[in-house]
Amino acid sequence: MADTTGNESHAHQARGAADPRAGMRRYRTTDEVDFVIVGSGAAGGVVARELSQAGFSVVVLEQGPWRTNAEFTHDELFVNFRGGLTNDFDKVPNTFRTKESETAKKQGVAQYAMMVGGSSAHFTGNYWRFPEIEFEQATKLGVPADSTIADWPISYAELEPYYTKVEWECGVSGQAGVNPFDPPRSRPYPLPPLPIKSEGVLLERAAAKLGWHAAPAPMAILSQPYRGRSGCVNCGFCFGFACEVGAKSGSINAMIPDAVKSGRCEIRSGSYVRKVELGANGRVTGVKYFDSRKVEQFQRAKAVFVCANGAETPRLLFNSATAGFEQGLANSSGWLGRNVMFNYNTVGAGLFSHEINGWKGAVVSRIVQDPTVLPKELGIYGGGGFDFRSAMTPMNAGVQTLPGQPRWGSEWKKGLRRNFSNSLLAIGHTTQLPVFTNRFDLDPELKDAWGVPALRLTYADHPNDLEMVKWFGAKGKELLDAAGAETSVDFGVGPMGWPQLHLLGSARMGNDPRTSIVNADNRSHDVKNLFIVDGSSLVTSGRGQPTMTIQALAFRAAEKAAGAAKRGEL
Amino acid sequence: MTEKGNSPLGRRDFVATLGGVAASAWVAANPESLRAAAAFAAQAGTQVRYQVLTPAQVRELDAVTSTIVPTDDTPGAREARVVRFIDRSLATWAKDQKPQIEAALKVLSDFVAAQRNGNRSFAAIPATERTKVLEAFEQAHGAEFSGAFWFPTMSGMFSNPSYGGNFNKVGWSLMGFRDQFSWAAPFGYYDRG
Repeated sequence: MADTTGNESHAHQARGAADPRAGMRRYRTTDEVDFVIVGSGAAGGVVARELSQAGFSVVVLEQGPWRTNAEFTHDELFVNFRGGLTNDFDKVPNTFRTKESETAKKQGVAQYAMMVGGSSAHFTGNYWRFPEIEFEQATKLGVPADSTIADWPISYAELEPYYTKVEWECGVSGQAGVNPFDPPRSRPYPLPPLPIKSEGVLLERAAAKLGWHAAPAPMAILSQPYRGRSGCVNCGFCFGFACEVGAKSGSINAMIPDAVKSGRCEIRSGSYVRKVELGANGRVTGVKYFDSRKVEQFQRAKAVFVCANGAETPRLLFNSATAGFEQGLANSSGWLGRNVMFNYNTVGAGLFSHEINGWKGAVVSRIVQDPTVLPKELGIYGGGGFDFRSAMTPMNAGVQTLPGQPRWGSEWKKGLRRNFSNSLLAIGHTTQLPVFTNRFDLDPELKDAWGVPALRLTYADHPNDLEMVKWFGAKGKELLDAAGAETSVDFGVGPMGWPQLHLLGSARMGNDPRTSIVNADNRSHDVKNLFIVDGSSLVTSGRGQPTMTIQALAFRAAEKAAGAAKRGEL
Repeated sequence: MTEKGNSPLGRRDFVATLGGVAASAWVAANPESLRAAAAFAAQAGTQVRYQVLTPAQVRELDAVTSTIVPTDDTPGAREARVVRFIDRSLATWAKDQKPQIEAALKVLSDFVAAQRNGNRSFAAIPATERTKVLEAFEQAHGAEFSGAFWFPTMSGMFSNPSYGGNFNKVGWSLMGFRDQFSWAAPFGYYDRG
C-alpha cells in the first residue's frame, strides 16, 4: 500500500539501463480515461498491455514503487529477511482469528511484492496449467461436506488459448509432449526448458522408483533471450528475488514495457487506492487514491479493473461500500471475501552424499504431477504435485538446519558446508478446499497508516485438507528416500501458517449472481463497468502455482472487456 | 525471517523447526536505512570506532558471538567481524533494535551472575566453559538468545559484506558459497550427466 519505501526518487536513478518510464504518456486525474486499473501485478500488467495496445487510454494505479532491474540486488538480508520488496505489515496491518466469536489479533496474513509488477516481479515462476478437472471438480468428484467447491463458469478448453497466450506473450520455458499430466495444448512452449539441476535428476530417479513421471518444469523464466529480453544467467538468487537481468517473465518485464510503449498507458506508482467510487447511475466513475505524498486524488475513468490481489481486492471493495452496497461494492451476493484459499505446501528435507549446489540456477527444474487427483480409495479430496528444490542462499543456509542438528557452535560449523551444498527440499503443492466461513473482511477497529480499515481474516483448516497434507508430507519423504537421501525428514505440515503468498478465491467467478462476484468474463454481476481479475477470481485453488491461470484469465478478461467497450456495451 | 516469512526453505514451514525464533524484531528496519547501512559500511575502514556499542558491550558480544561461531581450524565470528556488523546495524538500519540487544545483555549478565557467584560478565568466563553456559542460557532464555545473539551473529556471518560483516567473505567461504553473478550447468554432482 502506497510507496512505503518513500524512495521513489531513488527508483528513478536506473543505473545505466534505459528507463522504462521514458516517454510515458501522462494523464490528468480530471481526464476521464477509458480504464483505470488498480494494481500492476500478474493480472493488472496483462490487462494494461492488452487494453492499451487495443487503443484504449489506461491509467494503472500501483501502490508500490517502480523499481527497475538495475536496482535489484543479491542482498539477501534486504530481500528475504527484511521483506524489502514486500508489503509492510507495520504500515498496513492484517488481523486474524480462527472463528467468528473471537476478536481478531494483529497478524500479517497476506504477503505480496509491493512494487510495479507485483508478486510476479519476484515469483519463483512455476507456470503449471491447471488440469482439465480443476474446472469441473464439483461435477466429477462431488462436493465434500462444509465446502463450497463448485465448477468454474468456463472450461479448460475455453481457457486454453489464453494459457497459450501467456506462454508466448510473457515467455514460458518448458517442453510439450513429455508430461502425461500436461493438459491438451494448441502450441508447444516458445522456449526450451531451463537446464536440469541435480535436484531435477534426483526427482527423476525418485519418480521412476515410484512409477511416477518427472517432467521438465514449465517456468516463467527465459531459458534463452526472447523478444529483446535476456535469458536466465543461473545466478541462484531467485526465490523471493526480483531478477536483475529481467529473465523472470512477470509483468514488470513482459507486460508493463509494452503497455508504456503503446503511448496510451500511464503507470502511476506510489498510488494507494482506497475507494472505487460509484455514481448515481449505478456505474463506477473512477477511484479515490492517496498519492505518494498522502494527498487524496480522484482519477476519473469510464470503467475500472480491480487487480489488487486476492486480499487487497476484497478489502478495497469492502472499503468501497456505499448506499445500495452497504456490505461492499459489487457484493449483493454477500460472497465477497469468502471461500479464501492459499494452497498448502508440504516440506521434506533430504541430505545427499554428493553436491547438489541448489544455490545455482533457477529454483525448480523438474516436477511430478502424478498425484494430481488422489486415488479414490484414500478418501481424501484433492491432489497436487511435487518439486525438488534447494534455493539455498547463504543466510538461509546459515539459519536453517535439519531437526536434531545443532544450530551453532563447532558441531554446527562442521556440518555447514554439507548442509549448504548437499541438501534439498521436497515440496508438495496441493489443493485447498474453499470453505464459506473462511473469509476476508474488514477489521472493525484496526486501521492502516492512512486511516483505511485493515484486512481481517477468519480462517480454519478443513479436516480433509489436513489429511491431504499428511499424505503429501509422507509421500515427499518417500520421494527423498527413493532418490537416495542419506537423511530425510518430513516436516509434517499442520495448520496453515502465516503469512501466505497465494491469495485466492475471495471474489469468485460464477454464472449465478447469488453465489459469485464476477461473471465468466470477470465482469461484476452488480456493476456493469467494473471488472475484477486476479487471484480472487479463482473458483478453486489449483494444485498450487496460480499465477499462470491468473494471467490467462487476465488476457481473456481484457479481450472480453475490449470487445464490450468497442461494441458500446460497457 | 519469521514475520516476513519469505525463506526459500519452504517459506513458513521451516521456521517451526527453529523453535519459534524471535528474530523478526531484529530485522524490522526500513529499506532506506538499509541502504544507509551499506553506504556507511562502504566508507568505514577497519579503524572505525564503534558507533553505538560501549567497550563493555563489545567485549560481551565478542565473547557471545565467538562462542556461537567459534574460530577453530576455520574462521569464525571474529574473522567475519560480526560485532562490527552488529554495531553498524544498530547505528543504521537496525537503530530501533538497540534496546533489545541491551536488554538481552542484561538478562545474560543476570544469568551469569546467578551461575557464577556474582561474576556478571560472560566474557570473564574461561573460553572453554562458555559453550556450556551459553547452551544453558539458550534453554532458559530462548527468545533473547535467538533474537539478540544468534540471529544477529548469523546475519553478520552470511549477509552481504556491504553491511560490514562477512568480512572478506569468510562466512561465504566457510559454507562453500561463491559470489559469482552467473553460472552454467552442470551445477552439481548429479546433473553432470
